[in-house]
Amino acid sequence: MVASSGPTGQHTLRFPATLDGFTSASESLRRLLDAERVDGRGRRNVELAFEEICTNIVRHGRPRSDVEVTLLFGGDEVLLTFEDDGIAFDPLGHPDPDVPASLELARIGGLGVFLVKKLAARIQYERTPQQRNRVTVAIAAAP
Amino acid sequence: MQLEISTLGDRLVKIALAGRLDTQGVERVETKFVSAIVPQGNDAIVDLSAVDYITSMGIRMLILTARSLKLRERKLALYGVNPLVGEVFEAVALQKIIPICVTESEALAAVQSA
Repeated sequence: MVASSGPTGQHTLRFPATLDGFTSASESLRRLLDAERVDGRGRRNVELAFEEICTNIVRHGRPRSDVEVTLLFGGDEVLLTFEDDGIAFDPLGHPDPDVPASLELARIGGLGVFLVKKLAARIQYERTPQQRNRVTVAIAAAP
Repeated sequence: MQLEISTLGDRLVKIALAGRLDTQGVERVETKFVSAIVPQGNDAIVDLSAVDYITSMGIRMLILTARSLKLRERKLALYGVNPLVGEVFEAVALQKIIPICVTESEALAAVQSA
């Protein structure tokens, strides 16, 4: 797990695409959110987006070396950029789960990404020219 | 992540969860949570007042447990949900499939109703 800080308000967390890597990165994320004083709803939504997108990358683990998450704290908004160099995988490429009709029919898969879509201000996927997956999530910073 | 189990009556348990119901939290409590409820076919009320954060892993644990209980014609109800957690439940319309109550007595009524 490597954490580095760039220009004001920009931080990068790089960790192996494993559950252990994610766990140690989420501790670093919480320290960052303390330092940047992100609380309440804004904090919940940043932590939730971080967990759901990272665990999704780890879980769909065809060989991937590292996950790199850049966080930009810009006053009104926190911008999270997730990158990995696994094979192309678009987490937004699935239909949203329907409103569950019953316990038996409720879908469990895809709930995480659906939650991020509902709670984020914006979310976007692209395959970069460098053959990396990049998911960008903007979260309103307000508590 | 902590969990406290109380037996309230014949095949009726109360489980109080405390902490963060995320990937790590679920890993810590899921076995104890499920085994206190499902094998005996207990009705369960779940006190979430000390849970301050939940992710899809926590929601998954609640849905799978409630589903297993339904197969045994038993019920699970949640109560005491804090607003930041409640908004996450609303985002996935959890209240359509699991009763989400305000007080313990409402949760008891929800699991004991026919």
